[in-house]
Amino acid sequence: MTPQFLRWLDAPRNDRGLRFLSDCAEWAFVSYQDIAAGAYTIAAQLHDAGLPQNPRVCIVLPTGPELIAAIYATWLSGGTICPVIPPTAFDEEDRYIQNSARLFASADASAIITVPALRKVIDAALFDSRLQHLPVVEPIPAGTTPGFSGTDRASVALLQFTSGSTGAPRGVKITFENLDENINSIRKWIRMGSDDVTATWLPLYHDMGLIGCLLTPVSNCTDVWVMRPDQFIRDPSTWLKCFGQHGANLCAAPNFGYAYAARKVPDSALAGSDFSNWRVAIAGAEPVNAGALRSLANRLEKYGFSRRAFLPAYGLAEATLAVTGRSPDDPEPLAVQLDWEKLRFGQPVRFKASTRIDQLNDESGSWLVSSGAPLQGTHIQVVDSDGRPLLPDTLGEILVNSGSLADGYSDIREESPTRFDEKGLRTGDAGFLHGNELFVVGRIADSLKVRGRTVYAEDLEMRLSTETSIHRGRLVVIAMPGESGGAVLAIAEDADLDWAHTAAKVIKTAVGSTISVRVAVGPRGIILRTSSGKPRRRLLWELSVLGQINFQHTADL
Amino acid sequence: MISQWEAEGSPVKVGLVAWSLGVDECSMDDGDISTRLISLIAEISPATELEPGESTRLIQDLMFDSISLLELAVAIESEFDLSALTEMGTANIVTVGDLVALVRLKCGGPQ
Repeated sequence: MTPQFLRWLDAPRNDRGLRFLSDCAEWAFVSYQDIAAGAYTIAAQLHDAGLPQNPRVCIVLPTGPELIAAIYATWLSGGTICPVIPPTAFDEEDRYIQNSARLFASADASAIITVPALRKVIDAALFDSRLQHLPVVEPIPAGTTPGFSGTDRASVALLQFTSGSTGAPRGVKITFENLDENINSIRKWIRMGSDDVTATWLPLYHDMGLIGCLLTPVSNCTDVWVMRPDQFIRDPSTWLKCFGQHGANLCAAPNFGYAYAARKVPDSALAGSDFSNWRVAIAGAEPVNAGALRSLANRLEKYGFSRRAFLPAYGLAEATLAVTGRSPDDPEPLAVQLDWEKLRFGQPVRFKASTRIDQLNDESGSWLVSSGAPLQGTHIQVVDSDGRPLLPDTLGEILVNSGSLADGYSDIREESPTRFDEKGLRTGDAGFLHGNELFVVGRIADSLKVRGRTVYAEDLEMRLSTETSIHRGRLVVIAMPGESGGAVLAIAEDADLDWAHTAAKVIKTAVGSTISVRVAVGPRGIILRTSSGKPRRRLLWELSVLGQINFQHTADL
Repeated sequence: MISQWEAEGSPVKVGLVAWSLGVDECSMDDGDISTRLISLIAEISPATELEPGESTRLIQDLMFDSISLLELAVAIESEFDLSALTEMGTANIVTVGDLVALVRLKCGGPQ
């Protein structure tokens, strides 16, 4: 049976579709009928390339109609898509080739779809991954060949690569059922109607851009205004005009995007705008920063924008995309200030203050904003390290169950903080439930967000080892929950206090001023390891959060 | 049916032109380019605690990622009145010095 999110292809509309921004800053309309025609043509190209049944197709294209046609073409051919980031400004060629090669190999790719301008780097990446025999398809104009549509379908629709630490891409296997389930629950959550209009600048190789801002509105057969990320960075006022002048009313973005638009858009670009119909601005992909949302609301309110449009949300690729979110009818999201000093895994959290974010006038970033309630069909629990459910207002790991849980990873890795087990999806995120609302405190041990970007503990270890000449086997870096985005704890065995001070500076340089850094030194054996010698970050995180490790020296920055 | 986006002269042109090293109209002396560029990099760099020098690496040391690199490219275009820095394509830029050399080249100055 055809998945619901693909049914639009049976009778694609001519009066609805996507608008793309040209480099001369003009919008061009491409109807769903045109996209479908492009998809059937590329599907025929894939078919002619003689691919195996259910091919895995790596798509390396910039945002544009060809990319969207290529996605649906792969599904028409019975295949699995694997979107790959095209090179961006100042990308080092060797580094890009190396990363793409790893990705092609890890995806077990059967074909690549790309454009002539990228052939050189793609061919080099294929050569490096010993996949030079793979067919490389360059999209041709729609209708220049009889279209194709297969009957058989792969079980996995999307191999979604999460960034992962350096050199370790990892694909999440999202099935067609997962996409149907998550897209439906998103449509219900934001009450998506037949006249809603989406505007997006998010990259289409990530879950929020691809599923939230493209597949969802396309399945709803409603209009989408599509920009490339570089077009948004160059001129965020063009994106705001989609809402203020062209009737768009739905979007999603990370904090960074809202704050960036607030900072860069001049008043002159807002004149004559009317934002009163803008009803959904999902804030996701990282812990919600009340200050970032307020900075945009302050700029736009005199043109009719309502901050009630902001819907803080929580999700992850392993659950397809969305898990919780504030509903459009809910009151303003709750923000709380925690007593971080007393925060203990498995113990009740203590609130120093709580308020609705519209009442919040404190500029500090130390408020934790609610990520809303579970979406329909999603069940959330907060559990201890043995997977036992904890009481409300108790810090533990977020466990998710829903029809959107992915079919696992394309490869298995040891001691991964995010993992699937018999109880559901162990997210590797720490948080607590307050009423039916979820508060996400941060990652358990393996990474933290700095300015919207994930910094991995493993990468910090590598850097510390190189720059302070300490063997990696005597070192572990752990991301900790903390005020203003978290903290980093580095533990070393057999080092001295001088080393600890130097190490603290190295980490501080990498994570920036808002993240606090502690370097601790202890005797041999203080870093607990698995039988294969990998540091047990998660266990060390729990022991540190419980205050159960005794160090000889510590240095704080 | 020929869809709209491939039609001759279609307004939809995705940025597919690979990086080109055309010389734009801008002139200033060498030291000036380097100083202005380094202060621009320092302003946008995610690693706020590290002062960039010519040998500092953008990604490994200054923690630039694809979005902050785009932000930098856009800022350089506007500061030095250059074009096409953000077009898709790779460039062998590793250090701040590589970027200084590129901007000098694009500004028509000595390398």
